[in-house]
Amino acid sequence: MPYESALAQTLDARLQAARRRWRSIHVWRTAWWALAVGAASTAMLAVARLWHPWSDAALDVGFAVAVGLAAMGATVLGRVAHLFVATPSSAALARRADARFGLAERASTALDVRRGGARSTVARLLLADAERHAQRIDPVALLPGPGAVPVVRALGIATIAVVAWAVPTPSPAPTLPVPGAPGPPAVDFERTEENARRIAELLEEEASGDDYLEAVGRAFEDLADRIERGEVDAATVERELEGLLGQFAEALGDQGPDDDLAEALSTFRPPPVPGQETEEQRTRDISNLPPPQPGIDVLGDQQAPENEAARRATNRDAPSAPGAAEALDDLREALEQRQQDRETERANLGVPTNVDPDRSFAYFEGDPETLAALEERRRLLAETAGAQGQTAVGGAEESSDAPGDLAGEGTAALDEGAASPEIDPSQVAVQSVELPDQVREEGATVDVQAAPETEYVDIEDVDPEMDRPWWRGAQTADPSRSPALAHREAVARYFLPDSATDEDAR
Amino acid sequence: MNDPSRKEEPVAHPDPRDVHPDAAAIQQELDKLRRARAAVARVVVGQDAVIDQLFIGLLCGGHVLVEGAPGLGKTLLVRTIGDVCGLVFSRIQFTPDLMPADITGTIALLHDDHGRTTTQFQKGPIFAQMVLTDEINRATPKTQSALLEAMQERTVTVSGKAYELPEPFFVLATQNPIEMEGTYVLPEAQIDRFFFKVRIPFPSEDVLDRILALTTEGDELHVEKALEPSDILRLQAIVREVPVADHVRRALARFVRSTQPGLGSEDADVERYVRFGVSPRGAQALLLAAKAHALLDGRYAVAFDDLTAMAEPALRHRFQLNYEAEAKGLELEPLLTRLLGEAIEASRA
Repeated sequence: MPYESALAQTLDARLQAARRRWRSIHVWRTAWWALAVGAASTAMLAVARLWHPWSDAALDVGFAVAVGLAAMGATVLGRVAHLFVATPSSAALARRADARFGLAERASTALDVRRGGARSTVARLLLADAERHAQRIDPVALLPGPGAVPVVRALGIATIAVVAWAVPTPSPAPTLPVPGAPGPPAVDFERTEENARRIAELLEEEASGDDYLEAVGRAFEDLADRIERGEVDAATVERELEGLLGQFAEALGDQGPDDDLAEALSTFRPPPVPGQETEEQRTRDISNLPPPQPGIDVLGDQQAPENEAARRATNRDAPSAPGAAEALDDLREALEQRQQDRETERANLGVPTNVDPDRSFAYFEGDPETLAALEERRRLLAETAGAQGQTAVGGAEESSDAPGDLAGEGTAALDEGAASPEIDPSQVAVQSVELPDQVREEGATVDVQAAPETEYVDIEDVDPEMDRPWWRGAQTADPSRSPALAHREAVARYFLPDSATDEDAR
Repeated sequence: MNDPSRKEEPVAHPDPRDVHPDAAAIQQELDKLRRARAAVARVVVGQDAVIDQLFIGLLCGGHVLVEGAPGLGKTLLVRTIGDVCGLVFSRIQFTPDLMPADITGTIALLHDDHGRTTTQFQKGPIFAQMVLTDEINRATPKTQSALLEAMQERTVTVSGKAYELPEPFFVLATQNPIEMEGTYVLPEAQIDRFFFKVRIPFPSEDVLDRILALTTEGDELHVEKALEPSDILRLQAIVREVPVADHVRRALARFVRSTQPGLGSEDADVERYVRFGVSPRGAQALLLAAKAHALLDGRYAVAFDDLTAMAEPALRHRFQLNYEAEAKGLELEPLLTRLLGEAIEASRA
């Protein structure tokens, strides 16, 4: 054995021991790193499962464990490859030992000298010196162990993964509408067609002689036919049905307030679909919209108080045909009862049988006969109401913009005039004037909060000393003042001269 | 917690008979060297570092420029080393009227008993093994050049004939850094020929107390010769055999490169304040000095600490800052140490 090799035995042995320790430390760290990576992967999947809907269906514990094992395997492979590439050489360990143990470059220089061959005496002395000092090389002190940090880190991450998987998976998220994708149809064509036909049949049976109701019934039937033929889409059905139901409601409104009818109409509203209420539906102002319509969710707001009856009816019949048959039966009974009451009243009042009080629709058609009959009926009702001190057709007062509005309000005005002991109904005539935006008030100009066109009743002998503008804020607050009275007072206030003796101004 | 790198356990030297027959001789030479150093240290109190540097210069075959204030014992130090090493000693006081021939020697006409006249070269004071040249910067450049040429070539040429200087040849030139008026500053090219530039520090209070006690009481101290000139020559050969690890040598090369402005040095101070960096001759001197330092320390391999310890004396006259650095009061040694430390750390990594 060459003397140089013999001298370097201790140094070689220590450096080889250091290399083995480096590998063992690397393997130890690799194991815990792999566990940490696998646990982290599993934990991430567990956390993603809690938020992302896609992960709910795709992930389970088995899949996550498989992913974690795959991550561990990949980590092990990478670290093993790194083990072969990055294992420090003996020279590198010798340099580290020189710095760590204060060997003054003896070990590293000895390795260099031995590699090049110890030709000089001083080089041999160096090898001998390095061999002595190699005793101080302690692989454990040279390469300290990784300690508990990798273990704690890996176990901590694994604990997090276990805890994350222990969190129960939330219930499946509702299927949200995908932007751009066709949503569920807003109109149930089959049910709407059925309801439209029922309404048409009902109107055909119950509204005999009433052109308006018959026309509405025919319109319902036509809509049902077109739905059956598939000629209309959902939006058209919704729009036309809303219009027809509005007219139907107006026609029924002439019968006066009836909770049964309102409830019957409300039953056609489809049940709400949880989670599909749009922001517009939730925040929509329903004050100026028509009442709920059957077969279609016009308002889209199930929280409105007036729809409580509809919801009850809907829940009663859900899920097959929400409230259709029973509600229509109720509606039919209500119409029949209303018709019977009307006939009874007409018989008691002695109204000519050739006059149909409900032919208001003919008023628009300008049928002279119908108009004459209506005028006669109006006069008789006014006289009757004046004699009984009550409004004969109070239901009409509530209608403000129905097709028969003008006639109704005129009737209401006449009724009020008939009910008033100071005004002779024969002195009342309906005129239409244009109300100026500003009027004079005690020498000052005052804005008038009124529509550009309105009506007033030209009344003679009105008291000019009536209190000034009380009506703006008080006419609705004071239930004793009817709109008709307020109207007269407003006319007296603004369109009669300030002084009753000022004939020019009058 | 103790830093193992700072702990140097005393390790017995290997038995030379187990290594090589020549190893015993090497050990004997090294023992003589240590005894000589100890002998000088007994006379020159408190200047151990300077003594080591002078011995290292001697072992490396270089010449040393000693810089220090008057009265710090420069002459005593050189003379003591000469006595301990058994070297022929001469001293030249440089003055402005000193001529080259006054150093190198001259041709003289000699008359023999037969009436014949012959020419004979009369050797100057430079023909000695240890030459002390006091205040070298007071001589004219012509005289300085004659000295420096002899130092470099180790020969003196007179009338076309070259005369070998004795071996070992060791010049110690002193320079007074205070009295610069009327002096001729050595140019960088000539000052680079000095192996070391040693600064003799002012002694501390304790050292001064010991100096006063030793030099003012009793008889003058005498030193015994511990080395022969032949021993010095053998030690010079041993020094050159000291191995150097590859990464140590690489660190030195990296350091030398880092001192060069205009070579892409990553250090902003080098680019801004350095006039010229360490020359390759400076690197050679540093590595050789590190070898001698390791031997003097009882080691057979050059360590980074040897480079650090020898950097200042070997490089301080080969590394110059510019006027901006001088105006800002920057010192050269901290920059040298920092650059070398960075190169060492990079090599260790």
